[in-house]
Amino acid sequence: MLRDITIGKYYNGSSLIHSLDCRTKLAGALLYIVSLFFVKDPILFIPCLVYLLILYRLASIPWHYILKGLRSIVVLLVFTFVFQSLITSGRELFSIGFLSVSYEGLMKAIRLVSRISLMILMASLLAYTTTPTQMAAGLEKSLGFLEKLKVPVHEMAMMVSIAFRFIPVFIEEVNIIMDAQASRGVDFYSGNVFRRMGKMMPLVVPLFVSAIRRSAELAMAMEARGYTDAGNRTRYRELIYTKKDRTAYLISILMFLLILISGLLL
Amino acid sequence: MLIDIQHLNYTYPSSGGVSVHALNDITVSFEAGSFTAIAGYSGSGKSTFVRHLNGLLRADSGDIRFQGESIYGKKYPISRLRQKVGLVFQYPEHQLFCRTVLEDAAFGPLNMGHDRETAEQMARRALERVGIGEELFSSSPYELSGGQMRRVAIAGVLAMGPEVLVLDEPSAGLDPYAKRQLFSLLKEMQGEGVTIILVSHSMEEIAEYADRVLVFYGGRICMDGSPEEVFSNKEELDRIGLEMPQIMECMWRIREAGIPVEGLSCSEAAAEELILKAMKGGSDA
Repeated sequence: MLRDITIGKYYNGSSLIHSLDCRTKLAGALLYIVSLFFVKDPILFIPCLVYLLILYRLASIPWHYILKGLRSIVVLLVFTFVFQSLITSGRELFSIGFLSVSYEGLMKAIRLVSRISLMILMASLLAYTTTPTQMAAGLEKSLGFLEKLKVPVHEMAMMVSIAFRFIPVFIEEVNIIMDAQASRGVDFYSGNVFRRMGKMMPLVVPLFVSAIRRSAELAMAMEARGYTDAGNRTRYRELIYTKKDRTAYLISILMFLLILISGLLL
Repeated sequence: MLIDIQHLNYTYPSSGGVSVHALNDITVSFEAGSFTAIAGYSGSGKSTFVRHLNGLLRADSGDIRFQGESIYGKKYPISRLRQKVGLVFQYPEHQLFCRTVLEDAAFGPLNMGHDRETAEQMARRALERVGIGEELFSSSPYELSGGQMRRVAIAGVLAMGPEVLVLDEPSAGLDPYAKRQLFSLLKEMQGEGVTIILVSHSMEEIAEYADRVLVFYGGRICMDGSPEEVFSNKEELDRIGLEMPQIMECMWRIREAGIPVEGLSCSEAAAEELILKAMKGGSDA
């Protein structure tokens, strides 16, 4: 249902992982995800999973949040698994009618499903422990070198962080407008798909109008406070690497090499 | 009783951690044709409460009877309730979406199942009531001024012909003239038998127009009575962070200054009389 949208799933906490510089977390997540592509033998996914679970523990995120991340892609996982095991030819394990499952297919399916799940879990961990604002700041700084190529990194990062900032505002607004239109007799929850899409008009138009109004107001407020895109801006919260970050980098790189080498050997 | 509410409880579904017990054992009833104001600081449960009145939110426990029938009954037609209990939200002009003013005002009646002609007829009548003239019917609602947009939005609810009109801070951001117009409309509707429930932060508005005040505090109704009764209880008002209407405050100060004003009143005329009487009495002595 529309009301259940929860984007920006930051899990408020003050764990070790939360306190790391977001660039460290970004790099760590990226290295992990890349390394997963070198894993051939499904057995190797077990240490990968253990590593991930340790990270979740360190971030003090409740266990059911792990499943929450996977729930949204359960259909995708099931489809991948079924199709991969069916369409790959090889040594037949068993067959149902004209469908046969091969040993190679099963292995491939397990590999793909584990890879996708672990990737999603790592990305969710990043989202759970990093606020969108931090993420935007981290990306801005990491991609800062692109400024030399005349890519407006700062402006893009600014837009991204403003966009994130307004998600809760718009969710709130959607709820109010839905209530208001429901009070005028719209029933958002009945009828077939097409009828329900038609009922979105009373919701979408006011939302767009309000988005435009809000952005004009925000632009004015920013200018009133002297915002320009010229010059080097300093930050209120500087991104500084600490000893924790260096350790985290070391662990991430070690883990990356470990998975890479064992993946290539096995 | 038109609306009879018994032991209403509502807790917002929690999203990670704290759940908010927004309504706590609310028992109250509303008479047909009454004008009730609801006051209370932000977050005291006022808006949550009014969302129950037309079934937008469903209470965890307790019951609401509208015209003697429980709205939580299995067969109770919730769409009919929404037609009979019109709810005007804060900044209702933000909900306008049609190409023309008339279409927007006719949206409610159309949803109620009236044919286009009847719906437009109802919309016309409602628009005229709020003072939007024929010449504006075919213009886009976004071309209007803020006050006009507000009136069109209110007409959108009035067009459904509600028996109860619930308004959540309808005067926020309106100029004084538009405010007076709005309230004279509400008074007029009350005269025709429509029950008005008004959420407001303005004690002056409440004192001037309402017959009864409910004060919400932490999800409960902590005061219930006529404006005079409620507003003269200064201790309780201080405790929950509300203020007296200016007129009463003025009388209160005069009394503090040693001039014995008898009683406290919310209406300007009565206050003037009482103060003058007290002053004269003082000079006689």
